[in-house]
Amino acid sequence: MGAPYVKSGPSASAMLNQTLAALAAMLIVPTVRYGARPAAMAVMAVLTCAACEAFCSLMRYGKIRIDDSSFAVTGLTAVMLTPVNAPVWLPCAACAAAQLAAKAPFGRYGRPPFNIAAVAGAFAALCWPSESFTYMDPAKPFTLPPFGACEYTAAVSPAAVLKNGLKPDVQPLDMLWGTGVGAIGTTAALVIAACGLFLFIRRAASLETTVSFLLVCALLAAFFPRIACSPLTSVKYELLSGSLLFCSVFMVTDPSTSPKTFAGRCVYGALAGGLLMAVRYFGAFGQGACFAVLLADAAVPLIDNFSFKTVTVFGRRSV
Amino acid sequence: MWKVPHGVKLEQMKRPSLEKPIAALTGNDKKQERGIFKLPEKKVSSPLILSAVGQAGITDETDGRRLYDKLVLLKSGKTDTLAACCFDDDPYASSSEAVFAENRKKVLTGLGYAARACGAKKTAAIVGGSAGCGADGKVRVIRADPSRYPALAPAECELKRCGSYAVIGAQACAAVYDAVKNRKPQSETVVTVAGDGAPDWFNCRVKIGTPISEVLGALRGDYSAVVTGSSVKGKAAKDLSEPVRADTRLLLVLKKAKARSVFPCIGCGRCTAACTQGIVPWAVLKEMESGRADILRLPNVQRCIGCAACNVACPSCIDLCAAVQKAGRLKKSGDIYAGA
Ligand code: SF4
Ligand code: SF4
Repeated sequence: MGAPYVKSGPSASAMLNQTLAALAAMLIVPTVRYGARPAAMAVMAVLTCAACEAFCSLMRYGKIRIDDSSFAVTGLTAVMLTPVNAPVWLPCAACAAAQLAAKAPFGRYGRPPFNIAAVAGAFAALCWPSESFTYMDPAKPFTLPPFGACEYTAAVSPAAVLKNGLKPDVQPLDMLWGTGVGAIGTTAALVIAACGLFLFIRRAASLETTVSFLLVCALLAAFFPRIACSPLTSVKYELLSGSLLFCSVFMVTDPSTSPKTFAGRCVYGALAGGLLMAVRYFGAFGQGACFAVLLADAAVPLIDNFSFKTVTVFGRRSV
Repeated sequence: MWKVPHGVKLEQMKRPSLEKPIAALTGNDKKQERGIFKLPEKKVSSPLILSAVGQAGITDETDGRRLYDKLVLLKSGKTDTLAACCFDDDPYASSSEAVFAENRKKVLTGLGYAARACGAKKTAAIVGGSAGCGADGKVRVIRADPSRYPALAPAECELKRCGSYAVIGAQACAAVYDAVKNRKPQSETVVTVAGDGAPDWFNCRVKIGTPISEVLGALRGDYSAVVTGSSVKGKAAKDLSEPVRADTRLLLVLKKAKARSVFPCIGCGRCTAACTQGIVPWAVLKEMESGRADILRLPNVQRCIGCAACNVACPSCIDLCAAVQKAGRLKKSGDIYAGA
């Protein structure tokens, strides 16, 4: 170990571990409500990611070298964006494709320009749209074995109802507790907020990205409502439906794919928010968080280049 | 006006060692060392002080350079202000602060002698936080904020506004006093012993050249590594028979040397926020790693003061300071396309 022997904040691996802990905490509510299936899905997805990581490091370095937990973060994030009634292989296949296509060519955590979990989500949405966007109605009887086929009654998610220009049959406040229709980790807004708070306090995620992201989404929802209702109701429905909130805490805040300056992160958050709402308005899917994050990630080198030039021209000594 | 906080915030760990008086581990009769060298005259004049400083072999603990050489250089370059650094720009070290607290008058008189030797018209004392100073009106007091690292750079900025300046250590000032008044060579230094491997944190006065193992001899803590110098830029001692030097200000005793893995840059931007000199370390690193560094894309690197605040802030444990300093050397060389 060399200097420095003091650190002013969490290390990269500590930040990853904290994100992992927050994602693991997100699994508690679905596991209590739906039994072992969400946990089984998470274990399988993480194992798949670990296997891909091991394979890639074997190819790259000639030995198995796993020195961070980013693969587990990818696996858990992908599971959170999957419906609980989806086949267990779905997040596994999506994660494997994302790890091999979007991470392996670039290298270790920090190098890939795109959020790997967003790649997995987009891959699943494009290749298996019916499995990715068929949700079960938790209010009706269901059988969800840890592995294998499930018996359930399908329901339309609030995001899909909004997409059709209708008002969801659920009060916005009922979307806070994780009882609604949606992907595993996206329905419990309060748990997401608590996890976000934990990550912001521990400095594992940047608050400015989330704030600008949510602000732009809220403004667009208020000024351009998709349904006939008051601006405030539109904001509540838009923010609490789909994976928007989850994305604001766990995906746009990924330091490795977001810009390196405060102003850059604000612009990135706003851009991702604008893109997400654009995908919701004009896209084919009701849920466009993964696509919005990927498009915003593509703009990061541009934002970084601009902020570097700005810092260089206007940047002054702070003492 | 709202001011952007500079550098990085570091928890200060000086209190335990500052609470106790400086322990003496010198183990010999101090009186024997008095009057060891002769000076040509009794009147304290600039040549006499320089001669005393030279004969006493004083080392400035702030940069490890010979004080005599420094004063001669300053004399030829016309310095407006000579300042004594009476605090330690390190979260663990408190040796300078302890020496200053023990005998402020001695440090300030020594500073006055050094200023006279190099022809500086004004003197200043840089103290940490709200520490008492005891300076009379002649010595300007500059308060540094040690809770943020680097704390010395902002204080130096304040000095710079009043013309040319130089900084020397409080221990060097005390040694100048001893050399001029008592004809005593610099044979001792005060070091801070701290760290999770040391059950008792203290400042001790030891003879220069004493092996580290002897200083730590009384410690019953179980430790696996000892870092010498500073917790930010220090090195782990390979061998505990290494001697304590005049510029050793800290012995950081660690229970376990934590293995820290280096990640690629994760793009958090903390290094930019930490740098007080307006450098963008991640961009410099990227340019240097490209294998075809263009000096036109290395702005401000020549300003680097080597404080390593960027290293302290970096969650990926990248040695950004080394990259920036390498870029600085490259820029100085004027090689437009290094490695092209
Ligand atoms: S070492 Fe250089 S680049 Fe790093 S913070 Fe200090 S001045 Fe800035
Ligand atoms: S602090 Fe380290 S990880 Fe963060 S931007 Fe700077 S170099 Fe990259």
